[in-house]
Amino acid sequence: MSELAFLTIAEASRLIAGRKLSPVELTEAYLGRIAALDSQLDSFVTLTAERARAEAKQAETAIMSAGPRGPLHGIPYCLKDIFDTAGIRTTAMSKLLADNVPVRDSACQEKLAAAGGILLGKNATWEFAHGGPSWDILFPPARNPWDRTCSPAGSSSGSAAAVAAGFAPATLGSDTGGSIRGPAAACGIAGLKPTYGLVSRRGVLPNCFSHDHAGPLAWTAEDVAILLQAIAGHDAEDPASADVSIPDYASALTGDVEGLVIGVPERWLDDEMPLSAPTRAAFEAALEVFRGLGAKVRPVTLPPLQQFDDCKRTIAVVELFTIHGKDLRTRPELFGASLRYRIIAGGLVRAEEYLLAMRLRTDLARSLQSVLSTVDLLMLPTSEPAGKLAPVPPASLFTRPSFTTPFNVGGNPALSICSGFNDAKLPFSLQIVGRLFDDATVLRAGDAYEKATPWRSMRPVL
Amino acid sequence: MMREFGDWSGALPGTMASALQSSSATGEARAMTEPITDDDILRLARLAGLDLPAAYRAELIEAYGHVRAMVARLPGGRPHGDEPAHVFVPAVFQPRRP
Repeated sequence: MSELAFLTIAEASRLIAGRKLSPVELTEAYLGRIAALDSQLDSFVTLTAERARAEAKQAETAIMSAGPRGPLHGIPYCLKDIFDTAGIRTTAMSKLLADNVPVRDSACQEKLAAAGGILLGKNATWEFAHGGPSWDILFPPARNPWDRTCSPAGSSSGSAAAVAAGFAPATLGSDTGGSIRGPAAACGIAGLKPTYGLVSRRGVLPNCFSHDHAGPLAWTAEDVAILLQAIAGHDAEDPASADVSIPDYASALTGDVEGLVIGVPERWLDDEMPLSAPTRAAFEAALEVFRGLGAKVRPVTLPPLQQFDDCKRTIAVVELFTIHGKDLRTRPELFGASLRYRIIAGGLVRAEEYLLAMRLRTDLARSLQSVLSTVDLLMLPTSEPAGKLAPVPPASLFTRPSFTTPFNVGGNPALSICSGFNDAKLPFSLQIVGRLFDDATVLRAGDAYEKATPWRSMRPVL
Repeated sequence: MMREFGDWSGALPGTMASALQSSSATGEARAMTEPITDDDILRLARLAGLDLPAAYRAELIEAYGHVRAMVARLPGGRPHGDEPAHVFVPAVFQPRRP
């Protein structure tokens, strides 16, 4: 059963298409692992086992009679618990939404269901995808399957932990400052923040409207591409949705990166937030893999990291307060302390200051696109390997720089993949950033790297 | 830790670089560096409709200190025509044709 649970989407899809694997068998493999092992990780907050069994049976019948309708037909998946699911509670891990049962699916859930996917359940998140980890909210925080004393990072914590642990091959998360890429990095999987506007956020509880992205997490970049294909596309009900043509992401995965020019923001890595020696070494080794595949690597200069953080966080604290102001005024005790601290002062920021940050975003986004016009991709670590799972001073949100936030400010596609393991067997990460709406090149590079390295053959042991 | 840098803007268009390098010690941001008392913060909170129970006031005061420092670093002194990043695109709200 465990062998089935560690199939990638691409592998399982081929077996299903060849009628060598039943969606029922695959679904039972995941449900069995979740029942036996998720008490170690708390990666799920709601399990939809009976619904999954019914959907698996329907998929099996349909595939037996007419073949699969696409690569996700019969493939189980889960969703971060901020994606609306009709008839299934969607809590954002918050006491404020303990009894929230949406009446309509999010756009992403509609698309995955239409593709024939099988919903296993909803994953743990930091409260409202922002404040955490927390022990004073609706559910306990998820843990890292590589080391259960370590953090899976956030906010899509349970999503990344579930995929790494072999509880599901696919999940969706959200990313406002790094909430897909950080957990993907900590848990050693692939996670993509697509270009802003590529994937509809309709029906996804907001963190910060102007920086929110929905996106896929899976074991490999290839699987992420399969998921992106299913969820990308224009949605008139999301005001930020982009009306662009969607390429064939799978066919972009040629394995060929020869001639690609990779920019490295050396000043960020050397001076602004210096890497630890092991992380630096892992990053250099990853760049060497790309050189070996024929890519060129050169340094680039980007605006200071802190300007990106100040810009995004100023905008975010105001938008968060706007979203949660009514509850802060009337029932502040229902927030987790971590989230409340991070948003409580948003009402004191003046409109002029919010617009100063918005003006800065214009400059930063333009400068990022300007630099990306001189290279094909940017590469840098997503983060240092996972730290211990412990309360984090809430003030750190305002003081700790981030390698992920700049690409929320710019809206660029950014993929985190696993780039090895440290002495404690915790994953290193590589972040690959592309030009706007060139998610395909980002995925091509990630896929080429994964196929040139041994890291996808290693799984955590529970 | 974060620190100040010299000229990083060589690769960027001139007007963009000058805007990004505007010092936080100029323009609108300067007002944010003046001292503020706890009572001032609580008064601002009340003006924002946030009349918090006593248990949360220390939290608000500490958090606002971080927010204020962050806002004070935003470059000011901009030309009148500098548009913020969000613009209204009316076509987005046009009803879809059946």
